[in-house]
Amino acid sequence: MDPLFLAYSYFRRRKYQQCTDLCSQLLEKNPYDQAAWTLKTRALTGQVYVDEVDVDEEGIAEMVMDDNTIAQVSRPGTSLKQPGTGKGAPSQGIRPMSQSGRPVSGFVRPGTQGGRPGTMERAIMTPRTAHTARPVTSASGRYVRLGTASMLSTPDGPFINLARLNFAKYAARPNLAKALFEYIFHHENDVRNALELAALATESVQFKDWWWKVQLAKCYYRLGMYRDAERQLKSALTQQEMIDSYLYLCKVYVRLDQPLTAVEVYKQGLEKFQGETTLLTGIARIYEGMNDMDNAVKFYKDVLNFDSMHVEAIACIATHHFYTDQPEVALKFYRRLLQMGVYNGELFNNLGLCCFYAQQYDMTLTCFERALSLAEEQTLADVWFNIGHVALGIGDMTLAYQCFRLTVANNNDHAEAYNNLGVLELRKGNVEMARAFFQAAMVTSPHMHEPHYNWAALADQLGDLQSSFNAAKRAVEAFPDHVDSKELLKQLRHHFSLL
Amino acid sequence: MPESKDQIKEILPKQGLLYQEDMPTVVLCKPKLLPLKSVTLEKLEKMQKEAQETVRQQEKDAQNQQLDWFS
Amino acid sequence: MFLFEYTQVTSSNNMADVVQDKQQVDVFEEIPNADPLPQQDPVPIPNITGPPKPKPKKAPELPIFERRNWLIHLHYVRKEYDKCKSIIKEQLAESGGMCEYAVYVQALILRQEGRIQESLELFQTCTLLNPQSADNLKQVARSLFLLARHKAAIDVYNEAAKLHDRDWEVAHNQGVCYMYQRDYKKAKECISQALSYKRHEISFVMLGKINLMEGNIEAAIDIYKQAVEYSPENPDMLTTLGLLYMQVGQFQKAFENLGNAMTYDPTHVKAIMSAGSMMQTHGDFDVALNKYRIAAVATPESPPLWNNIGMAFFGKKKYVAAISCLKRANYLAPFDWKILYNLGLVHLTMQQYASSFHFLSAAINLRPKMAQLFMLLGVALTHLEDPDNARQAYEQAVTLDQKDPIISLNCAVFTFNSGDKKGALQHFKEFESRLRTMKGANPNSGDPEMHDTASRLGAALQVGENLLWQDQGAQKAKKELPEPTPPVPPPFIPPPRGADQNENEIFEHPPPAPPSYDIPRPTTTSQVNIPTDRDQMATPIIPPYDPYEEDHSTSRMSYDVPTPASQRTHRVVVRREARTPVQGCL
Repeated sequence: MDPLFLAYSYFRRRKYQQCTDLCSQLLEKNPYDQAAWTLKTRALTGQVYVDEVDVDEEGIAEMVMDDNTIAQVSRPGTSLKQPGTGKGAPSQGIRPMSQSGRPVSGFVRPGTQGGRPGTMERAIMTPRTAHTARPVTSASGRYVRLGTASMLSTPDGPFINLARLNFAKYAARPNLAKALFEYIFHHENDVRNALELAALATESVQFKDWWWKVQLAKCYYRLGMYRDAERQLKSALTQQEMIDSYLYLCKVYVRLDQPLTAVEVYKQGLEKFQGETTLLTGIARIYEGMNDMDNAVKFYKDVLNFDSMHVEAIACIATHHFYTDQPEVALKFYRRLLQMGVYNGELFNNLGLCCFYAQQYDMTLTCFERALSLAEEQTLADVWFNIGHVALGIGDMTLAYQCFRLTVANNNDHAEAYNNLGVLELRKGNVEMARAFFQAAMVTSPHMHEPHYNWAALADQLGDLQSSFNAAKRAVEAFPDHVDSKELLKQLRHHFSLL
Repeated sequence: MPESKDQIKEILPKQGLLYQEDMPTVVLCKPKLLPLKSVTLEKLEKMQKEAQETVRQQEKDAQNQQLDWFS
Repeated sequence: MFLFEYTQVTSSNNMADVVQDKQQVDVFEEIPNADPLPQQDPVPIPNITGPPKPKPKKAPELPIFERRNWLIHLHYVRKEYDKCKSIIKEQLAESGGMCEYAVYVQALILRQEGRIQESLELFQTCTLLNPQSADNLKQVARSLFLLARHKAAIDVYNEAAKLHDRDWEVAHNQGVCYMYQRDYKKAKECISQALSYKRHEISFVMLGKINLMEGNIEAAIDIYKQAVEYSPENPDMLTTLGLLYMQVGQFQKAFENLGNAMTYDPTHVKAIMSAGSMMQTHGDFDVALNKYRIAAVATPESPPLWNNIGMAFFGKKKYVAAISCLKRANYLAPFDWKILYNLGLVHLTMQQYASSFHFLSAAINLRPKMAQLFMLLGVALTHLEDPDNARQAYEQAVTLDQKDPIISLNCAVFTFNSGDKKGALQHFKEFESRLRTMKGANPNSGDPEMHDTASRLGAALQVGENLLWQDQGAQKAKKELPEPTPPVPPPFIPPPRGADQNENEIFEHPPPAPPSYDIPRPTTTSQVNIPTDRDQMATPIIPPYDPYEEDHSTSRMSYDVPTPASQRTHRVVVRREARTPVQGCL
């Protein structure tokens, strides 16, 4: 068989390694074999390719030193930085919050893991826990991970030596240029060179190819030049309407913290591409980010109308139902995911919780057992945490205590577990232990209101009004609508202002 | 059970327990549904893991080679 | 800065008055002699002979250290703390830290910011600067109190009392400190003394609280009555008084006070909670729900509130809504056995025995000595076809509670149904004697269904033809059957004694939780008629979704998914669990 044909076949079967090896052999024989060269470039790219639209991670530097913001304090409901008032969203006391003050989503994408902390202090404090670590800037964080392929030293040096490449020559040859660009961008993760190539290439086609404009925008986006990215994408869209271009454009707007504009653009896109689920999902994500659950669920349901197998939509809707007192409905959605073949610890954990709260006790333990056997280390802690809740539900305090202990053993930064351990210790009357646990919880996740409030309430009872006051203040900061904290704070203020 | 026709039903209280007052108590953290991972994220994590493995392997090889060379 | 100050000075030519005013405010009580500020040793300002000013009057002379006190005071009362602090800093720098007033205000600000320790240190500096001021001492004592150093605080207050006689503040605060030290006798003494100096709401409240801590409800009621007379528009005190009346069973008075509280503040959550619970006890579910709706806006995460709402729906026979609310309450407070009890009861009523069993066993884990829980558990186990464990549960119930007739009756029913007539007779006799005791205490108690069941069982056992309860019950049943509307219950009949157990527990801060062998609140024994669910009026707080509507249709479909949620499996599992209820889950 023709080796090139075979290589091509490998490529199409996504056996990138074999394809690369084969191409390497071909290139050894004939270093000027353009077909083999292109194929090898594409195979190497394919190994590390991830959908760029989905990759989004903001570093601390971008967040805090964001020079694109116009106003420090935005009107409510127009910014992703200040999560909205929460239309139809369950309160923080019912649905746990992520550090950014947003409800924990039903689905995790790169970029939803952190969220923006409000201040520099907080931003620097948060990465203290290993599992919520956030890169200092996105340039060093996960993007590096994207380019890890380039960091591994290959025995005979890199495949393409970028420094010695004559970009002008390649830019003029469209058949090679596109593959080369993707290689530089994805495999080498060298945005600057990629940008140079793209700029030359788009010039050589007299700015008539929308593809190059989108690639230029990708580079600008990575370099933080959002306005340039926006310009390129708009120009690309006038030439040729593509879903991808719409998605990138919205990504730019989200980064510029203009969620409403982003939704507008998504809707324009939907006029052209009706029922496109990626666009619908985008809208839903933005509403979810703004804590506007009514709209988010509405759009996720729209997504399901067009694609009833959409994992993200199902998971998010299920989460919403669970936290709005409808575990039975959530169970239905999660079961659907199970039928679709999603099979991991997270899902079984969720199924277990739903079963328990929907009073299907016979399945609860089976689900959790399966979750424990499937979960990885990080998830394992959370699974134990939830089993602890089941134990609380059946009134077995000893078991609950052990479960929370196991949580902490698996992840010693698990603030929720510390808090609950504190509550259990308090029930046993061990005030000192309880204090220690609350303290641990406060330190590891200052964004949760529970440990602050518990600490404040405890200190108040013990007469230590000073620490109580400070803790209550932090609790109100973390959850401005928490009635008990506010009440406590009011009482303390009264105490202090009384002469 | 015998003579099921003559069964007499137990009576249940018509009123449950009520609270007259709300006492604030300590709060627990709520159970946590775990977010499912997107395909992209799973791939990213897999890639990172593999890369780490490879690096470790390479370092090991390098070490072994050095040892060989010394000995 | 200086310019601003200058204009201020010129504009207010009666500056001395301002200073005077300030002292009046700060000192809080008029103190005739302890006046630390300027007039005592005026340091004359060197006369600056500058350009002639257009002002008619010369600026009043002030000692240099105290020059800007009025400005500090002005900013302080306007709560402009930042500005205040910067002026204080200048002032202190100028005076070398000798300006007493600046230090004093600085300390006050620090306290407002919650930095008590630093504030204490500054107040101590004040006492060094001016040891004759009772005010400074009082502030030191107060800081010590806020830092929970009650003994030290009492000592300092004693010092202050020497400087300033008959001071309400000193006496009151000393009392509070004694209270924290659990020396109630002294505490009461001090606060009574304080009240004799000056009548003040907060002293009343504290005195009432101390009486409650001692468990002396009657005395507490007296105190609160005085307090309410003194300030009749304070909803907090009205509510507390109402709650106290409820505890001693004076429901009419309780309701009056709670009603007053709600007149002055219609959104007063505490008043709503307690008034609502009373309405509910007397079958006024719709009114109670309307009230709760107001409260639910203010405190959406209050488990007791959701519990009551749930039970109001239960009273209206809207079981699904009831379960939804109760489950929310349980989600918010998993340790709360009362909510679990209610959940068990509602599920029993809906004949969902497996779920009921689960909730009841959880409740028993949390509160192992409660007879009613065991009785309900017995009922649930009976229907889950586990007679052995059911019998055990009933036995527990009967031994734990010596008063409640229903327990004995249900036990008799169970024994009878399992074919043991002799045992049933025994329990039935026990029931009769319990009923008689209860009727003796309160002739209106007991509900028709109990009488009905009892007479049927009595007939089956061929006893009890001529018993006191029977004809009464028959009459009652006759009276009720023809008329469709529930007879209006006589307003606020005191329920059987012993109903206070729970309230006691709620009141005392750290519940001592002695196992109560008394009948707690619930039970059918108080005569309550549940209105039939005629009016399908839109109830105010309906949870948005009806979780069981799915259950009947699609959700329990037996897919190939591993959730065969049929009743069958429930039973098997639960029966296995039932043998080892405590061992629980893993």
